[in-house]
Amino acid sequence: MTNMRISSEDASTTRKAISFTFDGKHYTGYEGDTLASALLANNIHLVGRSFKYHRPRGIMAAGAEEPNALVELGVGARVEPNLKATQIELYEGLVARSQNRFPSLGFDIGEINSVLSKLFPAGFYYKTFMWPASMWMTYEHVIRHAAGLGKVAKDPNDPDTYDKRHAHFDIVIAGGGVTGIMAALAAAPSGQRIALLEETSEYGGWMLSTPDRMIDGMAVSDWIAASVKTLATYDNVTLLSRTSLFGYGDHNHLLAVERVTDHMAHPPAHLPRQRLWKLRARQVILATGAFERPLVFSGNDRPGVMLASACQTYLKRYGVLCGRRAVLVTNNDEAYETAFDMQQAGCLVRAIIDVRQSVKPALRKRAAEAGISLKTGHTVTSTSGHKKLARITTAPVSEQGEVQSSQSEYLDCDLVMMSGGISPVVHLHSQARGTLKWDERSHCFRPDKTHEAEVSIGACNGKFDLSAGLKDAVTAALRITHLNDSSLDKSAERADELTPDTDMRRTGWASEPVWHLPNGLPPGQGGKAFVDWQNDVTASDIQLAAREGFHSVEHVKRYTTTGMATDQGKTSNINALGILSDTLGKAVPEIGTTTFRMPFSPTSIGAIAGRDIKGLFDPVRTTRMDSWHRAHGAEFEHVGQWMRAWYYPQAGEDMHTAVNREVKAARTTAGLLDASTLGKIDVKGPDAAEFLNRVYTNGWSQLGIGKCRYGLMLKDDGMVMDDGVTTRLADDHFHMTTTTGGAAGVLDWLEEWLQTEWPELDVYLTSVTEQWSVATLSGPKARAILDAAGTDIDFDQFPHMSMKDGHINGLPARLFRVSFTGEASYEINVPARYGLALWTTLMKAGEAFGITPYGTEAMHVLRAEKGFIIVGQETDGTVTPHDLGMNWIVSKKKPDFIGKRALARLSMAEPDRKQLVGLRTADPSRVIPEGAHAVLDPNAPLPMPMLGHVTSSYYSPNLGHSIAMALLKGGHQMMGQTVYIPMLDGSDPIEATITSTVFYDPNGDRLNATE
Amino acid sequence: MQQNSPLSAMEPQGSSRPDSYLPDGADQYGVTITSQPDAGLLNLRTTAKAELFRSAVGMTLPQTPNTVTNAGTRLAVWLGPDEYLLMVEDEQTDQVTHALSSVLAGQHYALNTISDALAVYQLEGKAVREVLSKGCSVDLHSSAFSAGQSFQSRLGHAGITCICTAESSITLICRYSFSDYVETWLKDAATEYGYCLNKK
Repeated sequence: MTNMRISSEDASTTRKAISFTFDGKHYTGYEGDTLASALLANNIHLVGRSFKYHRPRGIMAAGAEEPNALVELGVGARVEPNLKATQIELYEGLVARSQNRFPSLGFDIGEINSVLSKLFPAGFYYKTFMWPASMWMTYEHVIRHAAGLGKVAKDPNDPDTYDKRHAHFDIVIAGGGVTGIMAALAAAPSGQRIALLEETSEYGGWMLSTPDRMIDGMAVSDWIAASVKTLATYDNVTLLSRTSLFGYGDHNHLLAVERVTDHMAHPPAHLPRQRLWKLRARQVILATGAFERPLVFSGNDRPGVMLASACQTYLKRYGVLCGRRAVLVTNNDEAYETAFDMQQAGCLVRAIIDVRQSVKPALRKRAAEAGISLKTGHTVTSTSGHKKLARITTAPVSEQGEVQSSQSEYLDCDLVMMSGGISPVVHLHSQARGTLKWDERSHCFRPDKTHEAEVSIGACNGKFDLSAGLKDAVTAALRITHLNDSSLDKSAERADELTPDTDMRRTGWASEPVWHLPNGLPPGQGGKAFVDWQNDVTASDIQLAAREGFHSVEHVKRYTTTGMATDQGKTSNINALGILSDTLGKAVPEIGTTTFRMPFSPTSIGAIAGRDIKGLFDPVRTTRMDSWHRAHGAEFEHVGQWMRAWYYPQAGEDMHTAVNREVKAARTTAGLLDASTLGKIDVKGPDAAEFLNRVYTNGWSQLGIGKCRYGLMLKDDGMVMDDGVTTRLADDHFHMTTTTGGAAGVLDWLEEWLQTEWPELDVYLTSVTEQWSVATLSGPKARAILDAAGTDIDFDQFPHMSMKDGHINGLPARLFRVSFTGEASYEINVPARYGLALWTTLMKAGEAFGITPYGTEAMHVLRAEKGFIIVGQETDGTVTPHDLGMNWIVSKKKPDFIGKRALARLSMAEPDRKQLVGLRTADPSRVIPEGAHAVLDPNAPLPMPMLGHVTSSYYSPNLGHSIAMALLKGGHQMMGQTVYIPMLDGSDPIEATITSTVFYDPNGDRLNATE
Repeated sequence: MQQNSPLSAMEPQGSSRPDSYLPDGADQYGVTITSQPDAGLLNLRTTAKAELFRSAVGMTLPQTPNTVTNAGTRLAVWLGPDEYLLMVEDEQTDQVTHALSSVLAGQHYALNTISDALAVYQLEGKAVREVLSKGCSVDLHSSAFSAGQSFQSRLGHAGITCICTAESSITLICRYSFSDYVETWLKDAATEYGYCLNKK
């Protein structure tokens, strides 16, 4: 195995060795390595296959901009796809695999796509698979298998935990390079709360790759270490390394992910794997640096073609040589430094190929001194080598742009270091809706206007010189921390004072805009020249898109897929714009740029889900009687967030049998229901009755104290919204009840009307839902059971729809004689702490009388026997009181109530509105499925005209036949008619007769019973 | 007739975690959670002058949003421009109700006992703020939330009211039916720091 560590970097003695596997083979790296640096140290360049053409791909970059080296990490349920090898910190036992290859990385059948690539031009999928539309699902299945990158873990039970934290800061600094550090140092003494976020494990950024630079008279690495140490002494500074700021939202709401244990071989059990930080910042400082651009030339995607800056980083930060025989291809001065450093480190730099016709004499001299052949005005016309670069062909280009192919020269090499200039990382500024301006000198976009309270400093602001970047940082920090300071006018001086000296070397990033290096052949011929490595987009794809009429940059992006997906144009954006600009003959600023979207770096779904999973996904609310229900074997159903007892099966009973028993008991002896979840609102104030007049359809002024009344609430569109019984406690005081699921919404609704529409009404609303536990005792034996339990309440003077305060077995109680079953029924409210005591008291007192606890299912059957509606079951937001046959509850006398005006619309009176009716099946034992549709003629040709649907349907054991309610067109005028309900399972349609909705005790004799 | 319970997999989760946990190497709980079942709670809606209440309950009502006033262990929490939460000893609830009713007689007000509607917890420990910040978007830094301040917000999916009583001591109030969720949530979030849940 070839060791590419440089000899001066004897890692084996200073750093801990780490073993890891890649595609099943064992390798050794060292502490501090990324997976990419460790692979390169083992001379592994080939790490993946490309998205579309399955071309062999190698590591190209050293950081977040890596487009190729996407790998799958981990085993079993911990498998995570599409991670960048350049961002993975090495740990003992790490297991990584290459992606998008079959059967192996070395031999991949999909590579046939590359040979057939003439068949896969830009927009291939759009052009080919549009017809017939019905086949798309089939096409997609095949394409998904062949294209794409990693696959998600087969085991969905991710064993790791993912956490979230909210935090607020005065200043959030994104990027822990020297400018970010400098900004933090300058701002820290202000005492403001500052967070410094660094994506990698180490502070210092690009300067870690140029350790010979000097700041403040010391080596840059010493300055970084000393500065971070200083920052750590400040209580007001939070240092967050391994933390990527990936999303920038409105009002400086930032999303960052901290990789808490990803770098650990054996993470402690109590720590989350990753933590999502939801940050609010008064001010954001972006110090995100810059990305080097690749050059676009034929065959520029072979493993071994890398960014020059990446080679510099692997050399200086990780001590790894990316090749033994290298060629530099550049359009700027700065990349020369890498060639010199590589040559000095023992790599043979065979040539510097500069696309510019002339370079500064000083550079020419340095190249000569280093013994490197300098070829100015040259291009790269092709490369060769299958799984690893072996050779390039270079040729001179005339002043007129003609490739002098006759003077072509072959250069054997295993590394091409390319540098196409530099682009500020404006992604976060752009996410924050900041605008960009074109920099004519460095041919890149720089931040222009900001939309949020944010500022870009240093390289991401186009200040590529170290000293300029540091001063930018100090200036921004002073301005932000002294915003209200009258000495602001002196801040320029202070910035000068505070900015440390540097070695003052000017960086040479001014570049020549050669967007597509010519190969001397007509467009589209010769090897592929890639613009977007991750999405397999070539220069000719962009040229083709332009020729086909896609001139808008947004259209070109979508048609060619350049700059999409996890890459978000980090390496491809400017080159794509440049090529489009050349093709259309328009300047780049005229073309504009596409939007950079979040996430800046790929972020795991786990971090976004956090702990909102399983038992913490949604709160489960329980009543005070819950433990009794559980102890007595109740089955539960969810009603809103509440868990309510559904039915109480006894030994050997199925649901049907249990519910039938409960329903019968409530009509023959007594049933007990836990009704604690009903919404309860205390309504108090001199205008309380007037308020109720406005929110309910019926009148409330005349309701006597201690009397109850049923009310229907409408939305302002006239549709039923909620219902419940409200009781007058005093002249100015009412106790309102709402449906269980509607409680919170009704309170919000009522508060909104009070606060925004009727501020003149003196009414206070208070939620008292949970102050009371409620047991509803219903049935002929109800009163006898209450007497047996012991009570001071006079039941002889307790008619239906009235309320009394008193005691049950000594428990303070408020009883409402109201009924949802049609039986004499008492809703017994006690302070919630006594809820369980009340329940057990009643069960004990009722034992001799055959008391039977019943759940929500029996409650539904009992109320359906009486034709009582359930809001949300008989109604769906399109149903008026008239549709429900409830005109009796809509006051004609009141001047107004919510929904009154809407009810007066002509369409509300149309005879073919869907209206609530009862259904009796011809076969009494057949129960219609809820939701089924009714038709007049089950043999009518399709599409069959529909009458409407069944809202509630049960077997009624008390009546001995099934009952149902349905919303049918013009139903009120169809009494006695026959309808049919076709069945999904192909069985015979159910025949039913339209009836009244009241199936049981239509005169209410049982309801008003006094015994 | 409904055929099956739609979310039957979702059950109350309170019992699934131990009531105390210390990570390896930790020697004290990052947060101790103690339930306060003896809190007497009254919800008061009024716009009457704050001074009026000095004679009735021994303290004025807080007029600055998100603050509390107190007299000994009695506390008045600002909930809105005309809404307060009064926290007294449970057995004093009736007495306070009578006192307030006589002071406010003839005025427009609403006074409701809600001792049973809410669950109260005292959270103590050096990790209190970190734990709450995992599910609450309010600024919990001690410079923004210090003794005498309060807020209403959310913890995960539950509505909460918080009162800062000291640097590392916060009173947390939620609806009683959410207490199982809130306890489970707190234990889960505090696992990183170690916790102890004391239920009285």
